[in-house]
Amino acid sequence: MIAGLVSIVICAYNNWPDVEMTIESALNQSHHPVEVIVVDNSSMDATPEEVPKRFCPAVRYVRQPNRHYAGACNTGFELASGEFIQFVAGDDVLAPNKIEKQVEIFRANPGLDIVYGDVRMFQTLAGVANWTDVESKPEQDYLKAFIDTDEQWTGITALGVLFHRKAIEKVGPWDESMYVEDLDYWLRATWAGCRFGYCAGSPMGFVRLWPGQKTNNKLAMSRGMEAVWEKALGYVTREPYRGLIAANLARSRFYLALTRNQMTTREASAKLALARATSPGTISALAYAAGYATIILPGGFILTRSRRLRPIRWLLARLLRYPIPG
Amino acid sequence: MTPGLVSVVICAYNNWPDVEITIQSALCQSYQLLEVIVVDNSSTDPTPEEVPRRFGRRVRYIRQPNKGCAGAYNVGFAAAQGEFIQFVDGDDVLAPNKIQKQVEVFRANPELDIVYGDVRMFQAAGGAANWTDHAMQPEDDMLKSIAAPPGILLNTLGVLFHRRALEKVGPWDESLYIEDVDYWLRAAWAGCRFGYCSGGPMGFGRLRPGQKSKNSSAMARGIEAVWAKALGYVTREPYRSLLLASIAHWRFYEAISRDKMSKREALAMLALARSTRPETISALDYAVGCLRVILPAGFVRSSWTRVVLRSFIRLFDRNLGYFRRARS
Repeated sequence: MIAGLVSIVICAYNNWPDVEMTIESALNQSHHPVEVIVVDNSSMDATPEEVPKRFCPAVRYVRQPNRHYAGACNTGFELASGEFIQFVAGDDVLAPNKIEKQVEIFRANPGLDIVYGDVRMFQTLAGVANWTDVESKPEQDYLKAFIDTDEQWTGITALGVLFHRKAIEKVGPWDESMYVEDLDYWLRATWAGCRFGYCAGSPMGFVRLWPGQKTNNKLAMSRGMEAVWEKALGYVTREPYRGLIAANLARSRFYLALTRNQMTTREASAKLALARATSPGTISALAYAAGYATIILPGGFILTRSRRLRPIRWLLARLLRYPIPG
Repeated sequence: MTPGLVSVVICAYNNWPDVEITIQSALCQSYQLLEVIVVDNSSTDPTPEEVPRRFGRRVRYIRQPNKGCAGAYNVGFAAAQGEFIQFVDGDDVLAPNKIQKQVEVFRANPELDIVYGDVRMFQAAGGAANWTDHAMQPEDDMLKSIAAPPGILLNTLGVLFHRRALEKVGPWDESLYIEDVDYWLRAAWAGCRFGYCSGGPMGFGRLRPGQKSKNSSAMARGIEAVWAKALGYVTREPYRSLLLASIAHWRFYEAISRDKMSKREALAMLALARSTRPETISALDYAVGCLRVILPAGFVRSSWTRVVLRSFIRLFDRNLGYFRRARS
């Protein structure tokens, strides 16, 4: 480890030419020194030719079989020799003073393991902007904040985070089997006792939105969330966190049962029963019955699919206090 | 003038702490041969202490009486040594390779005077996003593209000037509220050649409440002033009639949106729009406009009648694109 050095790990997968700006934003930081490691998950575009040609030796270029974002982070961390680690997806942009601002916070509070801040989103193509930018804030109980969906706090984006090396050593590698690998990492980090610090002020970076992004795949996201909560139940042993996680797990199972995607009626009913068994306090008998009706009745299928029935879905969701997918 | 040098002129007015990221985005460019000039329009926040203290000799700090963006640009340009000039407002962010990309376009096309590219917006605070990002493209006839409705609008943040363009066009007009549209019109009229720089956003523009472009009635008056000024020097056809069509469209839109206007004023504005260029605002358009003005505001604003009105506009009016843009 080299004290004061910041390692910026860029995970690239078919991001040319966007990754050019990402690399430039990492190389041209107001903080010095930085080392930039580009981990290429076997891109099939111009990345393997262009990145070494344009940026080596200023960046270190590593090509590996596609192990997704988590795998690229792990490879990058193995190669990194910095005291602080920054992970960046290959199409996002770091603010010019991002590293400087967050290193200042680490210097002022040496007990911290992870510093996070806000990011803003932007579109690849022009058009109407249609998303919600999250404003994060300091929290008292981070584990509760990550779990408790009622608070609607999703304030940590991997781009806005700077890790101290000791945090990653404490938590261990990113889970390459997870679809929602970042939430899994934040949960494990808080459970392992990492201390989080908040960096206020201007945006720490800009996240690119494009069609076909993995977070746009709603079904895969809810399957991924189910996996995250299921895994979390395996290691979180304290209350009230366990109860909250079980409630989340039950909700995502309920949701998946109702979408009935690639599931027979029988499987969907079994999933629904599993949801109720996971947390009977969350999925009440009434909700269970209503869910069951939408699965087995012929009209129920339309209820979860039709755009026009959205008000009824909304009403049901209000009555049952669960989201009805659609 | 120093060849190859880029002067980044930052216009700051009570932008602390946002201006810090702006200055850093200028200093931390992948193109290294540049100077940064911060022109402070007499900010009353920590800008005058913090900027010289934090950035020292890496930026040139000039404080002046508040003369608006245009005045800051003029002072900045007078102090600039560079071959290329970039103007930035004190809360926007340049993309890290913006200058490099656009200088490459200048090097490849030495006849160009102005290079422009795309800009993306972001919000000062969190919350739901609700705006339209515009896409730029190469234009054959820039004057026509700017003057003709719906008209394209270059964002100063996404533009890099060659020094000779600024010398040719002259200073920014400090008396106008919308100084940029005026500048693009004058530059296109003066025969500046525009080049388009594709690939990636060139910068990020901050959106915040209380921004001057959010003051819709001041913007409306401002754009009128710009058009009126343009009519004074644009003497060639078809640009003059395109300009007149734009003014007619704008007045028509202003009348039917009825922002801070009595019914009587709105009707007078409609009549003015029709008389500006009768070919643009047909009798039918005029009638629909009058109907909309006369009908009670609640009726016009409700979402049900909006559908009817939209189909009306689509049927009879060719101004739809203009309305879309004006609304966003």
